[in-house]
Amino acid sequence: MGNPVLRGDLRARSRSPKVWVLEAVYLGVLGALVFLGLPPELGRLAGSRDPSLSVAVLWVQIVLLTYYASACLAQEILVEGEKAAVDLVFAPFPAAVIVGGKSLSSLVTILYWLLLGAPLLVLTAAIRQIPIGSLLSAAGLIAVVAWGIGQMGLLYSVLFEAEFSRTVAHWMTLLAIFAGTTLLPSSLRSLNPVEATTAAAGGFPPAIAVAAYAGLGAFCGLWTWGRLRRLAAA
Amino acid sequence: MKIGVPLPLEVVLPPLPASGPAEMVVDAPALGPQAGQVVTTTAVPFESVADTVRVVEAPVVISDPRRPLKVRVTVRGQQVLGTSAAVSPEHVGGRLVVAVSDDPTGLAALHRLPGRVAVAYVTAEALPRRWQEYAAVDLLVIRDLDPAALDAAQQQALLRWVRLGGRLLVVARSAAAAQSAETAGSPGGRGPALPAALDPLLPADVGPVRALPSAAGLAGHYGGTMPSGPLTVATLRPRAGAGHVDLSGVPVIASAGPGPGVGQVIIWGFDPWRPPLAEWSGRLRLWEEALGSEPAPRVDAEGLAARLAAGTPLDPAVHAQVLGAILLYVALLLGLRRWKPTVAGAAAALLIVLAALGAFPVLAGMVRDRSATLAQVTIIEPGGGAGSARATTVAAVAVPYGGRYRVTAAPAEMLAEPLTPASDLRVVLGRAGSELTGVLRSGDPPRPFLAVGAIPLSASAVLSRDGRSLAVDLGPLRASRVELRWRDRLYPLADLPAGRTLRDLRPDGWIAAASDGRPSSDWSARVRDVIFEGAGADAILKGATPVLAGELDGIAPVFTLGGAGAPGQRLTVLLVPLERR
Repeated sequence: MGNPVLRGDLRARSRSPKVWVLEAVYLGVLGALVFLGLPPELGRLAGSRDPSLSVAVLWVQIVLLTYYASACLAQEILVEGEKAAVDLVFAPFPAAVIVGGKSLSSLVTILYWLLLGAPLLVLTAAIRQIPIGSLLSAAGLIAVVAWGIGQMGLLYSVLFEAEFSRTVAHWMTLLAIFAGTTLLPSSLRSLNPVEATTAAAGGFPPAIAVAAYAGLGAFCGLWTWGRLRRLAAA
Repeated sequence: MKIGVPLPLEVVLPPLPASGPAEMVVDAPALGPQAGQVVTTTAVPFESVADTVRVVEAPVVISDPRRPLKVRVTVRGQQVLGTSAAVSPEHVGGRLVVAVSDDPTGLAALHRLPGRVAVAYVTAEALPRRWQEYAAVDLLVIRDLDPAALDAAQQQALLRWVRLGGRLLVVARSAAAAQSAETAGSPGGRGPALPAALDPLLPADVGPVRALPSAAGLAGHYGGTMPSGPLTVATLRPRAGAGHVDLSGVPVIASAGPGPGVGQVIIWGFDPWRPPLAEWSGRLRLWEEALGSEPAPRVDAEGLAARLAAGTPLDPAVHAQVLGAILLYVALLLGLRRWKPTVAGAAAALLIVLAALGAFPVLAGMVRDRSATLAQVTIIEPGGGAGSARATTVAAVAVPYGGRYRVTAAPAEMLAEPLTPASDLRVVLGRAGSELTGVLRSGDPPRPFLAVGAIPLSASAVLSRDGRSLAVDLGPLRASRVELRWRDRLYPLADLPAGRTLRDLRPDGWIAAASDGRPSSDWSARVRDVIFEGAGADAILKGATPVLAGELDGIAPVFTLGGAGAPGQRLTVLLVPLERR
């Protein structure tokens, strides 16, 4: 907690009514999904390979958390009291502290939201006797993917000055990642976050997805750091 | 043998190397959607004594005769013996005649009868000790039987099987009849080859042996060409109510119901294994008459199981509990975050998460326990005043979220088996009853089971000759929603108390069964509809007299589901064919 940017962001997010609403929506959607999915799938054919409810919960988590993380960092969702990375350039913080603080606050928020949703996931998994180990690997994947894509939001916040351009770029990126990757060859299909989550829930987190989104996050962080340094020098 | 019907399996174990808790395990392959993988395991625990020969019996259902039966014996968990037994295809038939005869030939021609008749020759020792193990037998022929060779359990099983619908043919062989000739003329004279306990079954007493000049009279009755020559017969003295066929004025065939009971017993005063009958071209018609028509099943077990499966809804309280827990969790989290919008508040919320992580698995366990249900219907058909009734129970166990189930069928006299081929199903035959365990995956349909047995019950219903009064005796039980059923009509009688009840019947009280006005949402009514409209309905409703049907209270459940949090649905239906007096 030595990073002042991290401290400030976490403080702002914990006080923000907007984040409270986001949490309410997130927990409400998860809770509703768990409850409405409670009736057992009696009509399903034996041996069906349809995804189970717990995987559907994981899908909702990866979609919501990825959007929340990237939208907060891209300033699409303005958290009250949280300063944008560009604004912090003019504060006496080095670029590395800004990028590190923003990245860590995003990761901590993602992990916190994963923890808030964990009991609901455990409830649905325990009812259907799904091994908790596979859920943990899926949760780890969600954290990496959401953080990596969130870092893109951080990059866009320093690349695009106009809010409209930033929002368009953010949504195009989300569309490309969640829809465009479904068109990839099957060997690369696990780059799709939903596909990767399904695979991780089966007990095998796809290494290619973990590496790609972790690398993407690191790359965006470095790019943001370089951009902030140039902005500070200018 | 017959496919899909319990058969008595007797395994003589050689001296085992160790003493201690042991188990004989029989793996019976079954035809299922996963060919080659469906195996039903039957286990019989016993106490092994080293270096001692042991005979272990188990009823086994063979559903796939193409693959061998595998038998293993374990002592203290270690396998000490293993073998497999293949089923010969020629022994598989649609109808089965079992002959207790010293001469294991002579009935080969029966395979020409309709229904793919198979013949098995056995000795007295091979006769089952559970009456349910006669389920595959369409006709039991007793020709050579040393009464001393039948133990009490075998006698009881035979008696009960015949009284509950079995078909028995006793051949009064001339040699045996000659032995009993000393008792000829004595009113209590009995069949030649049956233990005294079975004497009440017989439709005729056996008299002295006579040599008739010709058997042509039988050809006149059953057709075909009878070789010339004398026929040695044991003369029969038909008992009251028995039908008989005479040859030269001598009763040589008698048949009747087994006194109290619903089966059929036939006695022949001649030996069809011997000339001239062995060469008689019309003998097949005689055997066809003895075999009778293929009985229609009285209980549509598959139909009932399907209806039971549809009647196992999730407990609404389970939904309410889960909804309450989710709402409470979300409300606590959001309330805390709203009340204390700080980093410390967010950290405190993690305590709620921790508590929920501890509580929700417990809630999940409750949901699983309360969602696993067992629905069962028992159909009780009194055996014509024999003091016992045939009980057929169809049950369906549902484990909606998947997982292991453990179903117990008690008492031990009820023979339980899976109704459909199932993988990973183990039946343990214990002293207190059968325990059936297996695994259902999430989304698997409920697993149906069938148990057949006899319970002590005397219930009778007598309809006056003019059809205007009814006398019902339910013994210690009372029945609800009682009605008379006959073909497509029914006569509602409402509830009947325990003991004897007299009711006057109005001729205009009979209504069409389709217009009884019961709500279709009533589970028990829908189950009853399967009984009276399903595949076995004709056998029940198209008899010579109406049948009294009601729901019995006070009968213990046959199946119980281990660990179930919900009681499940249960129905006991009494079916009593009316006697006319």
